[in-house]
Amino acid sequence: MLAISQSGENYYYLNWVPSEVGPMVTQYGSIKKELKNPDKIDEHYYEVLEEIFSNVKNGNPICTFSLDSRNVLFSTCYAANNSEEMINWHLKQSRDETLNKIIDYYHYSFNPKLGRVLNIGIPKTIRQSFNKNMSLLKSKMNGLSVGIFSAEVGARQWMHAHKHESYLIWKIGKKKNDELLYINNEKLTTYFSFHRSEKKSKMNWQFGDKDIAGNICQDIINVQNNNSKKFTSVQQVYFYTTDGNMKDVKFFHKLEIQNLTLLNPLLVLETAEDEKVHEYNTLALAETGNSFGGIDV
Amino acid sequence: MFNPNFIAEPGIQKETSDACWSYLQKKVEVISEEPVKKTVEKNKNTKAKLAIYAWAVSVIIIIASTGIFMNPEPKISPDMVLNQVVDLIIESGYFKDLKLSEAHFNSDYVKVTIAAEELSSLQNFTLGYRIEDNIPYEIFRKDEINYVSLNFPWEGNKKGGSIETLKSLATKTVFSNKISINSSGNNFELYGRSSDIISYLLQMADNGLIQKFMLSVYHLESGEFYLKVQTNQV
Repeated sequence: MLAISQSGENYYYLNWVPSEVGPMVTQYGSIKKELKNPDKIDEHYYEVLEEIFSNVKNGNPICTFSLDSRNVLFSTCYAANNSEEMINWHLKQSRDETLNKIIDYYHYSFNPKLGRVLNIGIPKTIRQSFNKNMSLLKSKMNGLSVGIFSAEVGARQWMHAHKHESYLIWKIGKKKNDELLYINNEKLTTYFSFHRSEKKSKMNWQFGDKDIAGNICQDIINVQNNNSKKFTSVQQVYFYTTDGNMKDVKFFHKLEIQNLTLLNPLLVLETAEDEKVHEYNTLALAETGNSFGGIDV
Repeated sequence: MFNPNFIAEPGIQKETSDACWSYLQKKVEVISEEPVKKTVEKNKNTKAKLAIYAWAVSVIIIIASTGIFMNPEPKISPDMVLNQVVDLIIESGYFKDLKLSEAHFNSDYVKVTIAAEELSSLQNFTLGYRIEDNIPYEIFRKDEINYVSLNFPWEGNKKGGSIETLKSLATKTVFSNKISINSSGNNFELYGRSSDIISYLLQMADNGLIQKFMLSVYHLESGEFYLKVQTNQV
């Protein structure tokens, strides 16, 4: 199984096979490819997939892909009991009709107490391009996910995050703009981005429970300023980066916070070769997590 | 917590989706098309260009007409069928919902039965790609479990297989320590992990034996797999 994730112009891949001891990584790496013409996105993804397939050379490639979150649209709306009628009404009110024609919307429940859904809009051109490219490459795609949501699946499968009552996936971003996903009792409770500064934080955008998001931001600032040796608003925190912001990752990792873990699949999975894994440089592989959905690790 | 999969149809989503896009089996068709394409490309600058175009057009018309009027059976190679079964055994190991229940390699067809608790998982599975091959299938429900049964074309009536050959092959195959092998009369049986069954099936294929026997693969309640091989009586 070939797991691919995208972060801007960088594409990370991890090839694994089922083995007696669970999934075994046989190969991993990355390629860089610039999108030269946005009107030819299908050709761009074809070149990406073809290059990675040829790097891996595993016969009939079965793959998963995790998109960069900048490729999709997020929104939220009230929808008691996941009423499709209400969601459609919301989309009609809040979106331009032209946008609705070019975007496919997927609706996921937040924690039922909130009575809200998270809407993820993905351009039809992207979905169509992957379907077409699988046809051209005579391949199979088992999953198409996005950014931190794919990393969350990885946290569950690789590190059994769901055994904690609450956990946080923390993606450290460029210029201290971080992205976070908080799950409580196996339900998405808040998804937000905030700007981390030395003394206080500023919310960039936020979906779901606002109060909890605020507490998490304060918690991170306290840890950052050495006022606390443990996150108190959440049981376990998993963190990673895809933008190469290693300085901040190393800073937090070296604080030796009790309930903070690097989200790196290579630190958990068996690898075919015994070479030492660089725990920071391979962190971007966290977003290949959707490849492991439903698999015992 | 949900696991987004944008391969599924848009709208309100369940926590997980097994939807996929698969075109693995289409490799077989490409092989048969290639020689024609190459011939046309090699000769396009020759004086015979027009004649070849006319010839190619005639051939296409004849093939298309034959296709329309005769509705031929889909041609699928034995290797491809075996690959499909091996894929299903592997997938049964890591998909929570979709499980290979049993596969029977008969003389003229292979019947593969897949079980799932959710009907939608089976519907997605059949919509994924198998429907495009005109592979006959039926979906049914028994004891609260949903099943899809697919019939692949197969030529399994070749002669020359013996139980001794199977025993000898087993000694050459690398198995896990969970393997159990029995043989009696015309039957050869193997209990073990999915990897054991796959290793043995692939060894049989490599040695040109796969079409010389009647085979059945069962996924047992215990999670183990059971392979039963019988010599062809015809």
